[in-house]
Amino acid sequence: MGILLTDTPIRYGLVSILTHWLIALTYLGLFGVGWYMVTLDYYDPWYTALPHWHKSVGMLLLIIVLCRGIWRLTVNKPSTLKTHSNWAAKSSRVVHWLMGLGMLVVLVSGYLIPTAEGRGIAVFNWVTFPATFSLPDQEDLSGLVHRYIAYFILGLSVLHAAAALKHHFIDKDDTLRRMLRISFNRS
Amino acid sequence: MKKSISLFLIFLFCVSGMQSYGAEYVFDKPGQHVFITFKASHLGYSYILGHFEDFDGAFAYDSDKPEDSTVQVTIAAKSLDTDHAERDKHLRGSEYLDVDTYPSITFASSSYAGGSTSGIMTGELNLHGISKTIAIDVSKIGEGDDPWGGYRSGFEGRVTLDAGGYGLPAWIGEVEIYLVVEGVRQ
Repeated sequence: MGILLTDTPIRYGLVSILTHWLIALTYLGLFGVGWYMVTLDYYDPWYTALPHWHKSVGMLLLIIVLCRGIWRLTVNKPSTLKTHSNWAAKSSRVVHWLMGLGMLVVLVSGYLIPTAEGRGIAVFNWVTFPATFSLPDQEDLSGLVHRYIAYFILGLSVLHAAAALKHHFIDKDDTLRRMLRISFNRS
Repeated sequence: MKKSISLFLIFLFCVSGMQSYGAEYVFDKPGQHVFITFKASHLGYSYILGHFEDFDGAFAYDSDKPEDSTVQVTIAAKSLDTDHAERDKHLRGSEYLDVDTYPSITFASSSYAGGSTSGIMTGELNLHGISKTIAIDVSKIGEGDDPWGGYRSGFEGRVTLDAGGYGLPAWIGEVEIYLVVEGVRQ
């Protein structure tokens, strides 16, 4: 008996569950740090450390998001619960896609800000992600995209979480439990 | 007919020659022989150097009548460059130069005191939406024919500004401006 890794028609495997929660929590952390760090005064002791962490974690999250993206596109996820309405199933599909795309955009635009003039991003001073290209006004435009897409994803997350809680507490179905329960192979 | 046309052309040539005999210069922006740099303290232990890439201007100068010298400069505030994209973005933002609200930095001279090679150029600087009278130490570097049929003269200038006086964070302190402008006589 081992832990179920891949998704089955009725269950989420460990890969889906772990990446889902890892991305969700990391995203919220990055959002909070990003929100706070831009208010810091130049002489604040955290002025250099927080952006450094924000960028480092962001780059690692980009890798995880890309992996989950590939996973999501190649592995069939469990089918929608029969009790979900047609409307709920469709809108959840739209929200999932928007969150995935938004996550890519917010991370790539974040990467494009400090790398706008050829400077790489040193992830925890351990490995450096090189800069790629420099477009006119790149740091300013990427900054705008980064900010508003970050708000957009947060908004979608609230919808997503509200829907999950509604399924759990009002419909009393398995939607949220499926994303929390780690399953085991029967073999 | 042909004669009258050629006479007319000669006349035009003389008139244009007379006009260009004046001492009006435009900045050699196409050749980028103009530089506006700034230097500010970093923590009191070192300096940050930067410059503006996009600016243009004109000056009038005649070594026989230095007191008539004038200069006008318009700088695109967003063209600030300190070789660090994130810092530049920050400096362009609302906490510092706020270039969306104040896109231009301008200087227009009002008087000149000094000789034909150095003196004080006084005028109005508008920076971050605040106008103040400043005095720039200027000196001539040289003037004369260039190898391509034009006539050029070049100047350098220095002035120290107090950042706090222009609505910028006071902790920045003094910012030294050093500029070199080369003009092509019109």
